[in-house]
Amino acid sequence: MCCFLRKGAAKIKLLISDGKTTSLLIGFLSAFSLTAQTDWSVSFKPMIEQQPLVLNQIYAVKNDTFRIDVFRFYLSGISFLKQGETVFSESNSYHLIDAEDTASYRIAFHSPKNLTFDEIQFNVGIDSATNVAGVMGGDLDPTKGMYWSWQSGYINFKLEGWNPKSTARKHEFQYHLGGYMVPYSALTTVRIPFDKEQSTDSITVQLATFLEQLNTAELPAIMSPGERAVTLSQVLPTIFSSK
Amino acid sequence: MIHRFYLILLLIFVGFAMMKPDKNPVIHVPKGWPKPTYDFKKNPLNEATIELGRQLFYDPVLSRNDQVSCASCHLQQTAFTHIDHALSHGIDDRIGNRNSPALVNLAWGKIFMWDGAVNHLDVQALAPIENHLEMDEKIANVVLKLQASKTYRGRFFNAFGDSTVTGERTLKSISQFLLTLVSTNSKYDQVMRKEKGIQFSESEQKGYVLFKKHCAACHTEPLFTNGLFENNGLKPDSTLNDIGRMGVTHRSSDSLKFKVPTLRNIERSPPYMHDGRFRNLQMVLFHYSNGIHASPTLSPQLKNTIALNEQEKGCVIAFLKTLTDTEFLMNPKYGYPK
Repeated sequence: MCCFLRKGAAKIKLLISDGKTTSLLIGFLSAFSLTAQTDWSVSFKPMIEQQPLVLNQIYAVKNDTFRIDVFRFYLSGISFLKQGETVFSESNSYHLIDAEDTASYRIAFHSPKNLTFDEIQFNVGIDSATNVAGVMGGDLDPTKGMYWSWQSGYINFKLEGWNPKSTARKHEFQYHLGGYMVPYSALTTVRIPFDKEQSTDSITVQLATFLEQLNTAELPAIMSPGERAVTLSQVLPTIFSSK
Repeated sequence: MIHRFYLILLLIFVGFAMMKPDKNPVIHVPKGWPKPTYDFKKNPLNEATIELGRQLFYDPVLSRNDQVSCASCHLQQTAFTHIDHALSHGIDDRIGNRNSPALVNLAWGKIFMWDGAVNHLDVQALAPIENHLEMDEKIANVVLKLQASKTYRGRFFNAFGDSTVTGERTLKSISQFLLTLVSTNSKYDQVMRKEKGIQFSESEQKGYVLFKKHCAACHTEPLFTNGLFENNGLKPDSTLNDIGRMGVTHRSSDSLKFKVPTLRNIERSPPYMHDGRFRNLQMVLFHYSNGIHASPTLSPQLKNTIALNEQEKGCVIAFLKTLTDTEFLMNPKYGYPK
């Protein structure tokens, strides 16, 4: 045991000299459970202005009217930071948030106790490495309706519904935003203040902000990777906020 | 005490003997071939999963009306292509946009479909399953149909240790079967391996020399494809307006480029080209010697005319026929499951 600890100490020294101190040290410490672990969670709450999103219900947004029929998106690579330094990164971090399954709003974490942080960072969508790595299970299973069959790749963000201004059939709109290939990568990264303890807390996903950016008369649908998907995806980081 | 020691030793020995022997199948990589591209660590082959994949490949349950299977457009005896159809047809006699490609040596494939729209073998089957001209089904519904079948629950149990059907498992099983479709025993292979009593005829040998000079830059040995996208000088068909690779990358430099197909078993897989416009190899050779349509993205290999007389063309075709692997085309392991 003693010898084992000495080896561990030597390893730490080696890592420090490597200059990869922080992240590896954290990994090392958590792997050895020197600190107690705790379970906690963060919820992502889709809202339309002040009201929680309910599918198939009509909402007034500014001087416009919308109905949302489908709302699904991926969150990936979730990490928490304190003063700009990562204090906790979730491993294998891929989550499908689906308005049809409100249980998916809550993301559970298992991490060392007494973590403090002031920011949260995550991607909206799926990184390019995962996009080219073949078929996946769980939230990434292609049966989830978030994978393009005709041209490989994940849909990062899917929003379908109705708006009277839409020029498409039945005044509907469909936005399937995705694409991982350069120069049309639609993946966006969100980094927002999140000054919380490890308790059940929530992040607002303000759909009204996204809906206000739409022009359903000129562009009622985006369903493939490309410039239009990239442009509209740039709105996504602005829809997340913590109280 | 000593007795107890021997007893424990015996128990350990029996324990090891009862462990399942590790006899996972592996695909055969001939000497001198590149390493397969497929990452077998993420989907290790095993007999039960390969068999499940074969069942799925031959089962029309993958289609909306339970009438079209993978094998409908990929017949073993014709090198897993759709013979006699320029454009392959799918569900309700709907005609597709391209000629179905041969399925062979897929473990070495980097990117799939004529335009490279599919980036990994594991997600390849999704495209025909969900294409409304091909099988017109949804993978989520395929999973429901399989889960409802007692036979399939049993097969999934055999393959994965429990009977849960998922999209991931379904597709990985199909991959496993496809990965076993390895063709390495054509006459060409036997000649290269210097097998006793096997040699090229005079015209095959002459054809091989001409092939290396004029064709091998793209149809590189031993896979007979460089895996890249090229514009091989086909005049665009105005009834299809197929821009090929550019449809995926949106880059004009990729206009009219299509994936270089393997030539293995080429004798058995007419018609030829992405739109099946050539019915036989004579027409293909005529295209390369006399029919190149110039355009900005034309492959540099084709900028100078390939001058071949009729006798030389005959030799090239004789060589191409040495790429036919009868053992592969007749192997019952790849055929309709009994």
